[in-house]
Amino acid sequence: MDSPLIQLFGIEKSYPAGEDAFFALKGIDLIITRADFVAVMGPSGSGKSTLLNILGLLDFPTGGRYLLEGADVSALRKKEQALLRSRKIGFVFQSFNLLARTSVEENVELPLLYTALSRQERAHRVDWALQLMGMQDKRRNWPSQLSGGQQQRVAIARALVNHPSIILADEPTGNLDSKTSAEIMNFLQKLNEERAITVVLVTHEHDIAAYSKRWIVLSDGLIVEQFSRNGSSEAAP
Amino acid sequence: MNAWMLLRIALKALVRNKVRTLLTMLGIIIGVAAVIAMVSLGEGARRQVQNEISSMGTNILFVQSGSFRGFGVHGGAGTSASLTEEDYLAILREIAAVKAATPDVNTRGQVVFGNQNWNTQLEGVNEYFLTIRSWMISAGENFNESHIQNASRVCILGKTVADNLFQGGESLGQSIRIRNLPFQVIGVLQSKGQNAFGRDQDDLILVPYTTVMKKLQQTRNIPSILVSAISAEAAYTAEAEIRELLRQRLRLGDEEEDTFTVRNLSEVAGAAEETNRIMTLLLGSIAAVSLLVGGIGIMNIMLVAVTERTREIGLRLAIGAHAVLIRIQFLLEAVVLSLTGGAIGIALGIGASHLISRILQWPTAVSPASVLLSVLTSVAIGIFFGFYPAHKASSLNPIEALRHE
Ligand SMILES: Nc1ncnc2c1ncn2[C@@H]1O[C@H](COP(=O)(O)OP(=O)(O)OP(=O)(O)O)[C@@H](O)[C@H]1O
Ligand SMILES: [Mg+2]
Repeated sequence: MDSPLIQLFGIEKSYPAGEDAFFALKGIDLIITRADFVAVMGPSGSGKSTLLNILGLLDFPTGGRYLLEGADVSALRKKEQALLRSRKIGFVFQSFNLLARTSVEENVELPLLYTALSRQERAHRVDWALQLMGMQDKRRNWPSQLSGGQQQRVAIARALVNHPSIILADEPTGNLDSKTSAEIMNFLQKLNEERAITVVLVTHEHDIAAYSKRWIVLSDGLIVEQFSRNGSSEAAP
Repeated sequence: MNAWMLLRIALKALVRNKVRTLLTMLGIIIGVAAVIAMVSLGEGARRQVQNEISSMGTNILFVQSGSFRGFGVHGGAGTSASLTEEDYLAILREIAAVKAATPDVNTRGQVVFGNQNWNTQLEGVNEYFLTIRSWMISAGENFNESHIQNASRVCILGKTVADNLFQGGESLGQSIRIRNLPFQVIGVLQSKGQNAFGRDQDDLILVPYTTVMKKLQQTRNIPSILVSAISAEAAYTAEAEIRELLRQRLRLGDEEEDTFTVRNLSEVAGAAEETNRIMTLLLGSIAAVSLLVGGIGIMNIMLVAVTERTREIGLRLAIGAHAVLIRIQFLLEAVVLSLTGGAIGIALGIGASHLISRILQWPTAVSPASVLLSVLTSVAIGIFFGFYPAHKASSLNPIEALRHE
């Protein structure tokens, strides 16, 4: 069996604060296997978003090692990081971040414009992603004409269109009501179960976290608790 | 990822932000068009004056009583000791470099034919005037020597005067009244249209200068004499010799200033050039202000757009674009936008310049320097303010860019 999808060893993230440094992450050890569904929880300011951004190569750690599919990515150059983001990672944001005045299909196509795919292949991928998220009939609409849940479905389609191995979602339901939240979570769960896409999700809400297979709890930049659906519960080492 | 794709991304972004694109372009368009149109106005006037002056021939000299400094500024002395017919005759007689000369005694007067009335310029000249100025007669004939000697009451009409008095009827041989004296029309001048300052050059009547001096004005003074030298080179000798001769005749001491002016055409051209340059500069600065205002407009719009665009940049980074591609995209956007605006501005500026010359009958000439300068300025502004904030944003961490408020 090949190496796990993600391995973190002693990941630290510090920000300069006056004389000394403020540590947002104080040494995170974490292994995420393929097709896992992890919820990251913890109080506000505990470092959840920071961790997710590091996982997504949007931010770089100031200490520790990060192996993505066995390769060390902690010291990659920006261009190579961008390439990895484009190939392996899909982001879903709390605030959707769709381009205004741009049709749904063009929003979904956006990540593909930075790849070498042909026009037909791009169209094919967009069709596929929109269909998966049930948004084909809105493909010519503008984001402003869609409900919040629909916008988030478009954003997930955009995250999927590059066939990523992992989707990182930072409070994807934070702006949605509970019914729509459930709908979005069902989509993510389906992607995880049917397409073996790894999902890492940051959330405050337990009923959202309940969709996942594994939970980790951060506090003050450290993992303080981990649980799995199969009952095993472990404190941080 | 190829160049074509980047251009498409840039074009899509421009289309997506139609209002911003249009407003930004508008700044460039107005700035460029204003500069081109304004400068073409000044430049057109300048060229027309130059043409007119050089078409008069380079061997013409103007002798005027009174001293002029610079452009039309009277000196203190001089008006008492005006030029007379004797001075004119002395110039003709004694200076070898002079080919022909004519007094030019101006006045205005009311002209009547039947029930038609016209107020016009009366130009008292001799039979050489037409040759010196290279003016043509379209009907009838020039003055002859005896007309001048006898102070005959004959006249040659400018086209405008002929049209107004005779309304298309035959004018030759008719008797008109100038200041209530009867004059016989012996000729009509060919039309010359307007001059560079918009004055109708056909609105005048030529009369023997002797007639003006004896019968219309009772004066012995000749305000100016028009001289043509035998060649362009001889004009300079003639100028010096005329000056010497007149100083002697007017008995001016060594320390005294001239009480008259002798100027050749290149000096006149120089003075005219100077005024026109000032006018062009003035128009140019007005236009430069609008270019500046346009530039500030561009700046404003671009800066206002920064928040939205910074988030867009963050998103593009997050979904796998790297910073260099994004910079190229924004640079392309700014270039496309500025160049399109610049091109429209040029077209509009040239169009406006043509329209002005059509409607206001004012000559215009588009100057390549103004086109280049205005386009470079506005394109530089457009590119700088389009690209610089994007450059900064793309150097940001994607998360910071996404979080940008
Ligand atoms: N650029 C930065 N400079 C300094 N400190 C930062 C920076 N970004 C984050 N932090 C700090 O790092 C800590 C962790 O932030 P993070 O955004 O990861 O929290 P979070 O767990 O996602 O909180 P929330 O649930 O409110 O989103 C916070 O204390 C925050 O103030
Ligand atoms: Mg957060």
